[in-house]
Amino acid sequence: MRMGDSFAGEQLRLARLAHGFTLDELGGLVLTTRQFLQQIETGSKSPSAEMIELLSDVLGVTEDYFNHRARSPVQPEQCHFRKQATTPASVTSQVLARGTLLDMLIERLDSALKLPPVDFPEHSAVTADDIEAAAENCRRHWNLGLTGPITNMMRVVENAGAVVGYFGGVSERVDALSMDRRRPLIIRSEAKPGACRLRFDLAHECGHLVMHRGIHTGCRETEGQAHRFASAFLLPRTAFAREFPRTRYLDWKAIFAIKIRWKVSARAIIRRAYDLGLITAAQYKTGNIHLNKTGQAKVEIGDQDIIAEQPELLEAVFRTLEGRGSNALREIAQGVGLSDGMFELLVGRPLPFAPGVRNTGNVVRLFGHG
Amino acid sequence: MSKLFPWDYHSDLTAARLVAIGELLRRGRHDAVDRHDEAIGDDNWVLGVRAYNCGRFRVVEANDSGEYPWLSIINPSLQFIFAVGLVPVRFYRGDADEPSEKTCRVAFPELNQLAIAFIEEQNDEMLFRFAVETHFDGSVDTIKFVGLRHKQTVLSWEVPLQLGEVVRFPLGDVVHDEGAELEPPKVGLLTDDNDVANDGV
Repeated sequence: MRMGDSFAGEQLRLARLAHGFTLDELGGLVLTTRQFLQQIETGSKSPSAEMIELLSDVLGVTEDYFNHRARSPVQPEQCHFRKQATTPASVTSQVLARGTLLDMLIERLDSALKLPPVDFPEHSAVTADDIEAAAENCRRHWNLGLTGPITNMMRVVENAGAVVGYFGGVSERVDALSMDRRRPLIIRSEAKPGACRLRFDLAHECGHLVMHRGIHTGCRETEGQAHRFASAFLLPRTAFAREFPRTRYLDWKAIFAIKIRWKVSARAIIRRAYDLGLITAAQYKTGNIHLNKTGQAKVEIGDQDIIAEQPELLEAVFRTLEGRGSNALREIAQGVGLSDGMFELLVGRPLPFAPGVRNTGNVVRLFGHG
Repeated sequence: MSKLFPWDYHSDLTAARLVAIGELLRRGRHDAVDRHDEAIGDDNWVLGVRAYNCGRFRVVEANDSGEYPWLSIINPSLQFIFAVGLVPVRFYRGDADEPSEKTCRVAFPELNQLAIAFIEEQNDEMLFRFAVETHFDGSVDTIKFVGLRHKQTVLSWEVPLQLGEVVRFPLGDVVHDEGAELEPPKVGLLTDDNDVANDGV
């Protein structure tokens, strides 16, 4: 068999898109032409051994990566992200490619580790009442009650089996998204969103995973439904209506007290009050104008008092593997063809060991093959 | 007898038909909002033009589908007029209670249709409009079916849209609840079940 005969062109395309490289850009990095790379990707030409080595170095994958085939690439209808209609195709492709590669890694981790079982209830919801009921059922299902705040939204989704990750360098048009895979992925593209914003985003993505499995989302209707779910999940109607002040003018002191207790932004609180008919449209508009005029369009009073929740599941995975004093994490990453560069791109942290320190003698082998 | 609802003015103006049109207009506006892209130069003017045309498109499309036998198009141009049953109707984005001069303008085809719709009744120059009220981002807040007479709103009926509808719910007793404390996610090696419980803590 000649070198490159088993080369999977679609794997090259996947890695290239994950980095956000155009054919021209990658061609510049590996000193070849756009046309040749395109021919490799479509399978009409095979690369030389030197070219494979170069590509693997630049893309941060193993040479063996190009012999794998992605079993089930993430499909657009499995990926829930906002503003889908105006998101450039290049950004969508990048997100889907990274999602596919991260999913491969997670699947591998899933087969080696005991992770929280996936447990997102399924509800179809169209009307406001359906969505309120779906959010309440989820709270009951996860034993969260209906009368108190969600103390940690990150733990809610991670305990339900979702992996929360971060894609750096993706267009700011994509703020948060979720992928409906065997183990759901929730991805943020903003490194450090405000605490309230992060909680609401997680609840929003949770809404997609509960209500929109297999449904093409990203339009105003489905986004509105996920938003309503997030509001209803974080601020259950009965408890919220009891606590929200019924005054002629908006009682900001009370609203900010609700914010601190429920860890939901003041803007989301007045929207919730409006959706539940607790304030009028005029009061709602006045409230929004007040927040904008007082410089609280992006950062609100009290934001600094709410601690941002951090993803813990992936960290626990890495800690568990590293705790064995082994090369296990690198072995798992390489098992799906990921080397240092791509691993860091996907999970936002480097692989723990350099390739040269494999023979320490205390390696716990997780798989029979390398 | 005082007239409170659209169907008090004309029996063709049923709630179900007005809700159906309201949903079409909402969908049209949201089609436009979804495609609004400031990165390529879209501004509020573009949004307004696109939203009007998308709303118009949805109504024309519904008429062509044959699934709305009570719907007809009086003027398909940009001075768009359609009819619910016999009653001519237009739509605009803006406040239901403060119609603009432009909103109150009446074109000949509309007058003509009004004469047909109210042939046996005194309509007294009543005009019918859907007022689409929007949020800051241009998405639909509420849609109201309004009746205008002498440039004043004399009828305003909020169309109950699916997500906009306020859901009634009971208020329970006050409960002091600080929320359930949650454990961190647990992770362990499959090869050693004894380690599972606390590896993630």
